[in-house]
Amino acid sequence: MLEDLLAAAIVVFNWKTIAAISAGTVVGLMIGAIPGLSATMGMALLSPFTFFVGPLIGIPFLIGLFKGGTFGGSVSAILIGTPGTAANAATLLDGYEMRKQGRAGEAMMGALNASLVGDAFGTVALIFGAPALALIAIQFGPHEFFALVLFSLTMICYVSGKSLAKGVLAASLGVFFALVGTDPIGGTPRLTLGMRELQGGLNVIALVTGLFGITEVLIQMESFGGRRKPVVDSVAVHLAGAGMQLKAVVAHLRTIVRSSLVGTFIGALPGIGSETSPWVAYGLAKRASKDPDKFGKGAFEGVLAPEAANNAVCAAAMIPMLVFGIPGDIVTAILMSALIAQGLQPGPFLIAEHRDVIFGLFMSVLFATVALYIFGRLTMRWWIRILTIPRPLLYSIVVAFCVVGTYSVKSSSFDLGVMFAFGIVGYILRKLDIAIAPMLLSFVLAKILEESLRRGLVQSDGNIFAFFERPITAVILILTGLVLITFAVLEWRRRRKSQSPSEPA
Amino acid sequence: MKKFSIFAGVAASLGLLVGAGSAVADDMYPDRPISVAACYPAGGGVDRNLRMVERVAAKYLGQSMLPQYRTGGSGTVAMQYIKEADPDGYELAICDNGGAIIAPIAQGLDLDADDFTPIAQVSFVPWIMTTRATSPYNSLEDFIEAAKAADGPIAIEISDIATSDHYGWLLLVKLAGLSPEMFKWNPHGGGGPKMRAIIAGEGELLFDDAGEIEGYVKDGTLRPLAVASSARIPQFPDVPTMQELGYDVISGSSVAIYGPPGMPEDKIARLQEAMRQIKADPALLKAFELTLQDPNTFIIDEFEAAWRSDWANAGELLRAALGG
Repeated sequence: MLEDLLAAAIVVFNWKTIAAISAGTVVGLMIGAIPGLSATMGMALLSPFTFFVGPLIGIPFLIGLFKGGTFGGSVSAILIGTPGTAANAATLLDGYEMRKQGRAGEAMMGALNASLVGDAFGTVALIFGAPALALIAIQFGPHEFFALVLFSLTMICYVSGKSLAKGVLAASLGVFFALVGTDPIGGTPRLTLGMRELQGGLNVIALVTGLFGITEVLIQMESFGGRRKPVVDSVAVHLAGAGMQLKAVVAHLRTIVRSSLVGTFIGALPGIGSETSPWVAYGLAKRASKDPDKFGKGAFEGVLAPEAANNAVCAAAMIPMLVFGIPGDIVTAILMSALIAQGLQPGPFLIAEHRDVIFGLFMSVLFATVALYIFGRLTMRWWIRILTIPRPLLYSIVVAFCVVGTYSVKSSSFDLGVMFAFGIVGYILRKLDIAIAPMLLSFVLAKILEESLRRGLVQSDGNIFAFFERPITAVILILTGLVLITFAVLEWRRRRKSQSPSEPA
Repeated sequence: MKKFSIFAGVAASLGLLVGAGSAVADDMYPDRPISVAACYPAGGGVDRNLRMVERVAAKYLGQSMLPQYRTGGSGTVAMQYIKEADPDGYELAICDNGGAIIAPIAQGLDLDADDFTPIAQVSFVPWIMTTRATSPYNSLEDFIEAAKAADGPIAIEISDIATSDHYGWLLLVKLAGLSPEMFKWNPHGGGGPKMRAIIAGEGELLFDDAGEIEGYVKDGTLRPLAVASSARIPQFPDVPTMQELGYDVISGSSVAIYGPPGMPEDKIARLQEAMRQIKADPALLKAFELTLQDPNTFIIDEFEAAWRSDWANAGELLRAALGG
């Protein structure tokens, strides 16, 4: 194993592969940082070019792009309150608050360092644990997915802000919008108001850029008031030295490691990693924190947790694709397509028969982690300079990017309408002090929840108790119950405590 | 050559000014890029076929093909779009039969064979009826006998209700004189999850393509029983076709290029002529070889008949299966 890796390291350590990984990472960082443009789309558009170069140039390029894009999304989440991708939406909750408090540099470096650790975790799991993790992942059928998604939905408790009732309201709205489209079984259109464009459902990118990007622009417009002042007057942003950063990582090591494990494990399950794991990691971090009230108000751990998790997904998501030939999402489908185009058919013999190429691939995944850190660090000062752009100009650029990004997903001007509509919805919700995060979370999860519930029911002849008969499902459902009960108990105690001082002594 | 393209550019702009359909522009067809709407997101099989064709198309068309992505509605968004597009030859779509025929039927859309101009089928990958090696079925006949003798329904794993593999099964079931109610159709929401269930041992019968099952046949997990194509396939030379066994089932994933209805004959002819040249291009053949696609399934003249017969069969079987 180690010999294979060393041999592969020598093969990969040539200027072409390194240049491919570096180029991929830089392109990914930029694409990810632009609202609406995601690493997924960048990979999709650039993957055809990899068909015609060697496997250890094209595929490392795509991997660099994926990793760079996943981290890049945090840049715009933190700096302008608009997540670059759905995977970075959880980062925004505390990252943007930190930026408002003048701690942009701290948040960005934290995001980078957490991404690095998460990325390394996922990569090590891919290289050393792929067969074992794949065996677990293969046990996840519709019943298991249903239980896991239900568990993830309990994270609404932790991302609802001040009022749980308002959080649940927002979550219900998310479920409602997720139902628009086509019935997942049988394919009957529903809630489409007769509009053909709605048959495919609401586009998640349009929803994210609308709810966060456009909403934020509307909020900012309130306070422009003719002043052309930038967000910060100068780039007096302090970037801590390497020693300080190491200290910050060590101080929050538990959060980062826990989140990395969450990202690695959920990431290895086909299909739900990048959008679920950041929220789960965030919720668990808040739950474990001694000071949960800080979350949502600029908690450093609130940035570390989702960023460690979403980058851990990058490498882990490749596990079921490589071992079983089962891609879970568009990203892994693209990577699989790129492998097939090189004559490498993922499946049981891929690793055995193409040991050299696969270990070369593993080494490139590892190199991409290093490249992510180097280029993330090098570009950091430039990203922060975004804040020195006069605000009216900055937010005009944000709108332009939101439009371009959303349009480019499906070349659909209908999606632009959806984006602006959700911008207004988001604005109203913000004015009513209703958290937007639960809405996005439930929008993303409701679809998987419905599909897995209904497919599971078909398979078990309509018997709902089949969900409890399967061991993995039963364990997750019990955990879900425990999370809800402990949350309720803690909340009750907290309220009693906060009421008691006001009582006359 | 340079002079020519400048002239073409001027002619094109003039054509735009004077209005579409000017005689000058028609003779020069195509004198500007042809946009091709892919019905699924970039990165999948439809996109891969589009990119393979697009990469060599400019050589034979004199103009490039511009990939566009009009995704959604299980592929039907692109098909609806092309149905209503201007039939001037500059708007085409590429989609598989799942999005072009089966999803429109399943969704009850007002579409049929005459709403499109079939140009060429770029590739066809047949379904292979496959079972777990531990199952009692050693041949297609075993399965049919077992189905006739069974007390309860036999479970079959499918991508989803009214998808391309479901349609293949229904065709086989009908030709074997069985009825769809004799089976339990387990929907999984895609080819990947369907395969997962089989590998995890939760099901034992499926239709899948050679690329997906090859490794598992080699390692002894799965056993192929019959191929739904007109000829045996190179990956499994010992596996009979369903036709050989007496069941005329041709079913699989067919990726094809379509135009809007009512395209002028000369433009169709021009496109099909280019397709014949593209089909023989060494770069395309190389790409087909790497992706294990059979260049013999790149068909132009024979495509329309297959397209019409699929519409007729699928409509009848799927509407019955959906209970409508």
